[in-house]
Amino acid sequence: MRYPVGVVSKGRSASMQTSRALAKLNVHHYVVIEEHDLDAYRESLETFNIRAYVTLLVLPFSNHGDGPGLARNWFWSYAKDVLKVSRFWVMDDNIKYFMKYQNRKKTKVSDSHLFPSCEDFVDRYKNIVMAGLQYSFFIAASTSTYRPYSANTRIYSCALIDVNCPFKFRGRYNEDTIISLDILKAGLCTVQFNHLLQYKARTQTVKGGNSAEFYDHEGTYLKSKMLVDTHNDVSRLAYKFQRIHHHVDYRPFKNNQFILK
Amino acid sequence: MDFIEGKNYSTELTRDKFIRDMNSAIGETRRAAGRLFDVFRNAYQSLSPYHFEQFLDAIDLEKSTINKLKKICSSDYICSNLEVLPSSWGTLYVIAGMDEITVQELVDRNRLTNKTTRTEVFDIRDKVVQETTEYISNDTYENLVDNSPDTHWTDMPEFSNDEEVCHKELVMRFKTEKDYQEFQQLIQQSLSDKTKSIWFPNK
Repeated sequence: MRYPVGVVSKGRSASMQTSRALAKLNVHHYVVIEEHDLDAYRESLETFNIRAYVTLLVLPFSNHGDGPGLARNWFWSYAKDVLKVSRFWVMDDNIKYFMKYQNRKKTKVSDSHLFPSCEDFVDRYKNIVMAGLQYSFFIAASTSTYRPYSANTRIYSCALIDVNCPFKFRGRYNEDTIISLDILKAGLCTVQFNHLLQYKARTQTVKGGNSAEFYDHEGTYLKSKMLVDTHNDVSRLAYKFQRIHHHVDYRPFKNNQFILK
Repeated sequence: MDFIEGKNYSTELTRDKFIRDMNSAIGETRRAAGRLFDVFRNAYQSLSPYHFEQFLDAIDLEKSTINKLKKICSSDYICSNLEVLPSSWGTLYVIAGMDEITVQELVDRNRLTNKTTRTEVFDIRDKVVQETTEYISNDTYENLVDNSPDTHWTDMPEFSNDEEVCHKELVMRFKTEKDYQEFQQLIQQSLSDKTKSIWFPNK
């Protein structure tokens, strides 16, 4: 992988799922944490034997209660201003492993060779400012068919972002969807890959992160409501999967066209 | 006013009095508008949604004005940073339509201060939109292409997940759980309550 990977983590030193998954693929990465978690994460690097793959970055703020967007934006600036790269990966810390989807089967990958294919793909275009991996649980491998990617939809949890994207993560909740819509409404493009997938614990099922800070107390209503309030022209509240969710109509953006460099 | 031969002539004294009166009226209007906004914001923050709706029904304001005030009050960023933002709620309403990160950057760069007027905010907003649009506007549209993987998935990892052609599909119905279990034994496949489709023979 030629672009740096940042894993935004909070209160998850006991699991560090994404870090462990990346270490298994021999991927060096940054873990972006808050200062009060530093000792616990240092200890976990030894416990999980992943010290060789991880650089801890300590945020200049903590417990702000505004969700992971601020930390992601901080890593964004770090990638742009310090690492001087043109794109960066940013991931949540609840990805257990990565899978490839081929021949109607999903199988765990044992190395990182598919990640550069995502980087190669987006680098061909000047207006794909955000890309990411589909969740494995959205791919019904044996019974449905999918294309290698979906264009102009939301990117969740594992994103490859152009540092010059004119938008930033915002909002306390649903910042992934909000920035995706900001990008799409501006006529820019997103790509969600299906050839490489993320196997992620469902939101609110892994302790730490935002679960402890607000989902455990507030459920998903406010989360979905914030999105609907922010982008009310294309989103609405819906009750599905036994929880309050949001439904977003991405059809208006299907005509945002990729522009080759 | 001085009256000379039936005509009205003002003096510097009367001019200054009008200036004082006008500025006083403007000040009162501004203070009243500020007070109106403060009361509305306090109600928004203090009342339950149910009582707030009743409050809205009972106050003598145009619906469009109410909507503007609601939009301003719903912005945590604006309510938390009132001291650095313009005090006019008409100006705040324009700011409420901008994303918070952009507003924060504008404040940080002193492009937006508590002295900025509504017209200036409109100009700033338009410039931000223009800067965003310029991000893609340098392109000549001869490079435009469709987004289909048929066109773009070249020199990329193999992706063969086409639907497998089958001889026949059918819907099966089992009257009892026992029947379902028996069927699984017959075909030698383990099925769950969530199983929606299977292949026979199993793949």
